[in-house]
Amino acid sequence: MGLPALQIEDLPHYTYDDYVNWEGRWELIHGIPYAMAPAPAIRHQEISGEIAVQLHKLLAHCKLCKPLLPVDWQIAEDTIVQPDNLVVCGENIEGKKLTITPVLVFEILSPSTGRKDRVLKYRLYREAGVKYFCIVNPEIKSAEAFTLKSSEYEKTEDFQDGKVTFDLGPCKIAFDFNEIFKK
Amino acid sequence: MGLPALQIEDLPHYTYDDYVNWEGRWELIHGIPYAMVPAPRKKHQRISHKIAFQLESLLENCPRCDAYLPVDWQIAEDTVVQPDNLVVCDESIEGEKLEETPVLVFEILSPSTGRKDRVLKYRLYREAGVKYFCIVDPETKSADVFTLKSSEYEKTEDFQDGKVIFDLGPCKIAFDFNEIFTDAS
Repeated sequence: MGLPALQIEDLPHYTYDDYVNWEGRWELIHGIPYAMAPAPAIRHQEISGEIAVQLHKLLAHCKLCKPLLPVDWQIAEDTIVQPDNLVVCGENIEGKKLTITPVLVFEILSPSTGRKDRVLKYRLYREAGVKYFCIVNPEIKSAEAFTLKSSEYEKTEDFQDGKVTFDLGPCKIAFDFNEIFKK
Repeated sequence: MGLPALQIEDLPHYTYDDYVNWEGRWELIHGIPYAMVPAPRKKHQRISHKIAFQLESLLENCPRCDAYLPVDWQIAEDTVVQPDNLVVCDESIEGEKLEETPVLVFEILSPSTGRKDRVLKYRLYREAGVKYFCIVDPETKSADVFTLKSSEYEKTEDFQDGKVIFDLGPCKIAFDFNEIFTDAS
């Protein structure tokens, strides 16, 4: 049986007001719902925990920058994502959702979200102006760090013993990528 | 702040195996998730109930045809919908989802699903071969009935006192559309 092809004007175009009513775990990108993995794998959560702990320590004396676990970051009326780990610098960061751009974002790849993280979020974060975007691959225990330079992401090659320096504005931190894979 | 435009290759393409894991109320059409209204309005449910009740009575002596409230109807690997009311004539129906094409489908419009029902589902049901497709509008208390003829839907004009004859194959029923709007204020 042949089904009619999808036509662009048939695509839904949801907004934050729709999104907040949805049960389950979703992201909304350009009005299209993207399902998140029902529950992340143990390895994924373990690494995310390690990132959070390290950020917490590194930012202990940096009052203006906060490390966060997934929150609703509303980039536009029709685009809401939940990065795995993020750092936001600024005053008065509170409320139900984040509307300011994080300085640093980590996405930990899952088999089902590879393309979304590598292509779609890469483009999204670049346009939103996320200064540092890190893609962490639990399978091969490696990470790529991208730095925004003149509106383009440049892949960081200068890992010093697994460490990368992130200049967050109010503070500089030396993040140790070896540390997050040690377990 | 300018956001990058949506590109076709970025669209998700989910299948039934993804769909079954989702919480909440969704339909899946060509791999794209469509949110259903969080909970249908009272009027919508009242009408759907009346349709179900009438179908049940009309099909009492038609053992091969059964009326259903929303079930997962998997039209293709990437397309799963839940019509508001439907009739399936097939003795071997069982399991968690429907894979046979219904003979008769009713969609009751909600303000937020108008285009999906009128355009997207219209096309979907036509291609799937749903013989009768009824779009019920609670606001105007009216219904459009489409009959599949040579792979195209033809709008039925011959309501007799609000009744339309549906030839379901094993049985014929005279469905009374006036009935479903009584006390639907």
